[in-house]
Amino acid sequence: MSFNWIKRQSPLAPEAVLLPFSVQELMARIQPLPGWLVFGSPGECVVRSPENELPWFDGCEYLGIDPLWPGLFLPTKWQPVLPQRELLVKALQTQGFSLPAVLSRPNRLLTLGQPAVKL
Amino acid sequence: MDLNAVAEHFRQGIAGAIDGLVDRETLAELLILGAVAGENLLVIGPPGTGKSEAIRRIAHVMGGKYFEYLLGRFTEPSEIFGPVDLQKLQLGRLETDTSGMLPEADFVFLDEVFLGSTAILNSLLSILNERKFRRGHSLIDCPLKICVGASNQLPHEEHLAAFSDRFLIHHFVEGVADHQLESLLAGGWSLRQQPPSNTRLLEDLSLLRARVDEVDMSIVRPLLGEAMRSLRNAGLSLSDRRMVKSQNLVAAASLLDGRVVAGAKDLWPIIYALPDAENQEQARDILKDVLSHSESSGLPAAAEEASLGKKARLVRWQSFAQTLIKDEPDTDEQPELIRAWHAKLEAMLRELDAAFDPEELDDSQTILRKLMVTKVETCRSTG
Repeated sequence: MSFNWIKRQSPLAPEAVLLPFSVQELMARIQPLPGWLVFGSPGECVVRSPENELPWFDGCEYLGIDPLWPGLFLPTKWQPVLPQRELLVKALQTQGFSLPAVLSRPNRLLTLGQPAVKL
Repeated sequence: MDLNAVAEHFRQGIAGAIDGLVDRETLAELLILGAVAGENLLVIGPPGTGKSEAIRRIAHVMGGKYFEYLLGRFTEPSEIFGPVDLQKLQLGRLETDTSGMLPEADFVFLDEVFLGSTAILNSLLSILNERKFRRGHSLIDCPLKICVGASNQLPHEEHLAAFSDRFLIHHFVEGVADHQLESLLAGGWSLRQQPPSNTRLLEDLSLLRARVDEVDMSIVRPLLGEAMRSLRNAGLSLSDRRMVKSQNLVAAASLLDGRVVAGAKDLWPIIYALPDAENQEQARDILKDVLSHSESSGLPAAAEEASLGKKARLVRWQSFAQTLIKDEPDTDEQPELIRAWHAKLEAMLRELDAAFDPEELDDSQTILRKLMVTKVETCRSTG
């Protein structure tokens, strides 16, 4: 299944950030803050926290929740275009897919699972 | 008093009410534009973003009667318009005792406005359109200057969309940016000190309102027609009703700038007559040549946002970032000061990267961002 993406007129409020390096590298680069939930996958990680405590790194992608796409973190600046949006969301919810997950450009679904680090 | 003096006095008086409303200058200015034009304002945005504070302060400083209510699915019409007058009912007349309620207010703020029942919305329609309250045997002329409705999002239901169309000005707000939190706190503190009321401002408003119909539109009308044609050709929906009524906004913008002849610089309010955020942003692009003439000494923030849109946010970001770079503490300053400055720098980069892609920045913004990135990375590497 492939998606098109369009630019949002108003960005979503950031609730997480996708970083282009591992959890270990994140921990080596900055002091983590209490309250962070860090999810890892090979070569990248996702940090969830209140907006004003989210880390910033050059090249990171901020993620937010759009009520039209429940259970998915989407890029704050981009909106997926999919005619059968409801079907995808329902399929994810009913087929035991682990939510929340990250849907990012161009066509990637990244499950978060259990946090690697809970501060 | 001549028009220029009235407009100037009005602007000066209102400035005190706006002071301290962080990032809400456009909202306050649109409220003034709507009050002079006799049109209503719909504010779409998340809760707790200072929407009610703006109107409350303007109502207070102008000395007008103010009514606000948070509507819910079970709100009774009597909570908004007043209870049935029992004495009159005994005489066989169904009338409403409106004392202290919406029909007697100059300024009205209705939060979650689309949650009102059909009975409430129907009565509101005639107040919004004709400034008349009708219920049973009651028929009252309302002194309403402006009604501000607020909601988290535009309604999709057809009957509610028709109701939202009664609010000619649509304004979309976001939460206050992270780097402005200190200003928000300071502003919130200063808001406790209410500016004094000045009832002369209500007279100024009535004078300006009365002169809207006298504004000479002969120069601006062909430009307005051309702009509307461009929007239609691009497939943007602007009903005939909204097109015609947007002239009131253009005339009011001209008056608030102290002129009775409207010109190209007064066309900017038509952006706010477009019903949704996406259409507004597209219209800014389609009308960029027309909007490049936008100017208003009375309503500068609203005129700037109309012509720049998302870019206005970028311009504000750039201005804050330049100030922050200038305020960089020396390396021998207290570590807490340096840490706080560093945190602000990161917050500004977070705000930028969450909303804009690199290709949306102009050369000076790109250079500024690079400088900030270098400073953050240097700060991290040196601990």
